[in-house]
Amino acid sequence: MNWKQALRAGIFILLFILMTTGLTYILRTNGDVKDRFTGFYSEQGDSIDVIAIGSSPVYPCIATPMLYHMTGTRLYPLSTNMQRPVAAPFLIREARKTQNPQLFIIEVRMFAAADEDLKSNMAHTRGVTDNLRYSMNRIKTIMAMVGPEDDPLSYYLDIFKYHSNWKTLVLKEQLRDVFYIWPDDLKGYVTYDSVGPCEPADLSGITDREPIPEEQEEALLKVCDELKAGGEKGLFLLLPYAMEEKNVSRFNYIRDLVTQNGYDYLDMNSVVDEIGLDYELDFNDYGNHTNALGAAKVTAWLGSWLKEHYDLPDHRGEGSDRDAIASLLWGGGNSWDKAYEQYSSEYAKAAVTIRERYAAQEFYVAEEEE
Amino acid sequence: MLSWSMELTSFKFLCFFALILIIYYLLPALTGGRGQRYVLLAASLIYYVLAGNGLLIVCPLAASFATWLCVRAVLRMGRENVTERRIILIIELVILLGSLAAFKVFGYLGIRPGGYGAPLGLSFYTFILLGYFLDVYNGIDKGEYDLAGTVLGGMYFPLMTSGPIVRFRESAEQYSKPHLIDYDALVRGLQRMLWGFFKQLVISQRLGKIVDSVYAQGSGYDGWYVWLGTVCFAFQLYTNFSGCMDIVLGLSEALGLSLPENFRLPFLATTISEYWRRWHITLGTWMRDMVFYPLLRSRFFMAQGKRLAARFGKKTGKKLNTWGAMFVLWTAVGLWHGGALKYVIGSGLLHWLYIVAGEATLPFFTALWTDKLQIDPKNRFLEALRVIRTFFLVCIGFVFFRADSTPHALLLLLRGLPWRTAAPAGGGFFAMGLNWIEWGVLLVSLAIMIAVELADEKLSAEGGIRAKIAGLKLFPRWAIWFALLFYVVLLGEYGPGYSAAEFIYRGF
Repeated sequence: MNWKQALRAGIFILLFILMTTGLTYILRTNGDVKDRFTGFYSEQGDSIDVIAIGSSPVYPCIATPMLYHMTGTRLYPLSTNMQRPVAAPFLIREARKTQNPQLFIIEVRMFAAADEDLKSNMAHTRGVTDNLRYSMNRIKTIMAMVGPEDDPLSYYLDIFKYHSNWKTLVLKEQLRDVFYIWPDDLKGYVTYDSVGPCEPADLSGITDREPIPEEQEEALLKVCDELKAGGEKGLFLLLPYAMEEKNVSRFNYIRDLVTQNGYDYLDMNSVVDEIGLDYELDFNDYGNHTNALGAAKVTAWLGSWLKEHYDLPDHRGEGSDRDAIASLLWGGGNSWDKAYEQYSSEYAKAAVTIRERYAAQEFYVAEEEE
Repeated sequence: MLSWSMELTSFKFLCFFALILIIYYLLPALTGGRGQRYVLLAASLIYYVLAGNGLLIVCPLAASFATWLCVRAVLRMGRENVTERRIILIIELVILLGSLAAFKVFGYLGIRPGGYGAPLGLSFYTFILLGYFLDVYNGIDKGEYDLAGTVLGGMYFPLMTSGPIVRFRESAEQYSKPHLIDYDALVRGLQRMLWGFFKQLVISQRLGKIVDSVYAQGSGYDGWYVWLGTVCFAFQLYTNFSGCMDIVLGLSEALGLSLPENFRLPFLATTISEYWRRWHITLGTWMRDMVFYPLLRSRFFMAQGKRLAARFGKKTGKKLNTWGAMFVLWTAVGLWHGGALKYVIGSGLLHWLYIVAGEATLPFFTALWTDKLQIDPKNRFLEALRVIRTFFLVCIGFVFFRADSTPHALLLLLRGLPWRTAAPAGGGFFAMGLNWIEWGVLLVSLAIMIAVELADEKLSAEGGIRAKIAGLKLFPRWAIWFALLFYVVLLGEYGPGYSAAEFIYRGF
């Protein structure tokens, strides 16, 4: 074999790797989680002030376009369904690659659950691993999240799993993800328009502490270490939900751990009256996730609280180079302003839908998980 | 029990092969051209442990050791020591065929000694080693391989899945020669492997779903559905087995080794005899040379031949004697496939019957075409009819091969009568494991395979279709290979959500 042949072989292999990478990005299952991550990668570098990491309560609850419109803070959620806490330090590192956020918000609901329960559905792991772009950090994330018994190969090389999505190759919204960069219209937020009422419970009297599962405590301490290493501020947040009594003492335990490590802890369940949450109308699915009405209230309260406690910049009126390029190419303006416009429109529709559904007693019906 | 998924189509195997390839070509640069056969030997032993049943590696090692000892003994004795040589022959036969028969019987009875099944590649290494011994015994092979060479010859890792059943004199010599890296051979080998992946992962896996639907006990698919399932099985088995051979021969080519072909468009055969010269060629050749010819030369058949010639005339007597030997041969072929009666019938005696009937009726049909109808028996229409007839006869054998048992096969043949055509409730063409899109993928892929293999055969004098593609300019050449590569990557059935691709002949 001469050098020319070796070079030719090298180019062939390189092309194959590049094409396979792009193909995998295209074929990864479409949906709001994929949109959220491609949207994150498409954000202008160093333009995000706050990154929110956590499970499914985050993205339907913090209306990022509204927060921007209200306070000028750019918050982006890197949240996935039933996100396992072990992923949090790696998502922080992933966020730092393109952004320099002042504050990381860590939603803590999943820290009270045993990792074994969260692992039972591989989608809870793949939500994270299969939405990261290929990098060393992704490899480390998989090493931390996937055991040898879970077919790790199909995580490292996720084309093994997603090649069966080849029929989606004809979809425009899949083809555009070839580089895993595509703006998310609502900046990671998802509008929920179902309603599922629940009963509020006063659990403020429970003050005892119950240790959280060992692996979650370890994950929480790793998050603290990661934040210390990066020098960012950290807010450990419990978003409002119909909490079960048994979990209160675990969250009390988390609060202690967090504050002992020098980070802030905010339990929004303790301020639901201030927020003005209506348990009849503001939850999507019986206290698990807020719908659009609840999200607006939570965001309004959280926005004020963040402004009060952190020195976050006001970006309103600012443009970005990417927005300028996008405007030149296909019109439009500041992507955050556009996101707010879309949010306002979706919110208005959702508010009507939620009220109509409530009036008709058409409550949320759970879909079966895959 | 240590056993990894090391099917030839698995990613683990590809990584293993890539590693071997690198060491294989780097080592001679460091050792002055020596040591490649030890790389192959080490790779074969490691592969066996990882892919087989771990400890069962002692079986092929013991068989290799016994063969090496027997070969040494035969060579030392000289041809004049007839009795001693026969004793050695019997020892070799007892050890190799005894263990083969024992494991086949155990398998048939569902017995797993120590929790282990049959050793990986049992039939293949047994026949390769036995063939080597018999060639030495008959003075065809000089038997000059040392113990390491004998072990490698018997256990060369790609052969352990489904063969081919190579002859030592064709293969083992190559293992011990140094091979410098040859870009063209390497690329050609990898291209052939890719073609094997295409056949196995894209076509065979899909066909398997249809076959499984039809051949499931009480499936409710009758009439034409049975024949659809059977034709699909014929192509499933072909793409599975010949795809495996493409991978084995391709990876050997990449290592600079040339192994014998095992298939040559078998479904285009016009007679059953021709079919067996095109299907599993190395088994047919081995059986002919090691069973059939020695049988005809044996004292019993020589005497029988004389008796029959005296009674029925020279020509008929010879024919009857040959048919008798063929009966033993085809029983052996059937038994090789497994101890079950369905294999003895479907892959053995049925084919014997076809050949005997064909030979017996040949004079009648020759007279019919040429004398009475005055039609050239070689005309294209008749040739096409013969191809269809042969394929149909082979398919009847495949019904036995694929069915769960002989009674199940007979039931399917009865249910396969066209006027009984029926599908179960909720069943039908698009409910046999494939929806219409998957059917489309399957039919397009089959069309590609048939077109390419026909073209390859047509271009064989010029090096085949790969040589033709290699002659194209860079862009179209790469476009073809990238297209095939991504066709397999996208449409191949592998990874989570699919049953792992297995080679059917691995079980033999």
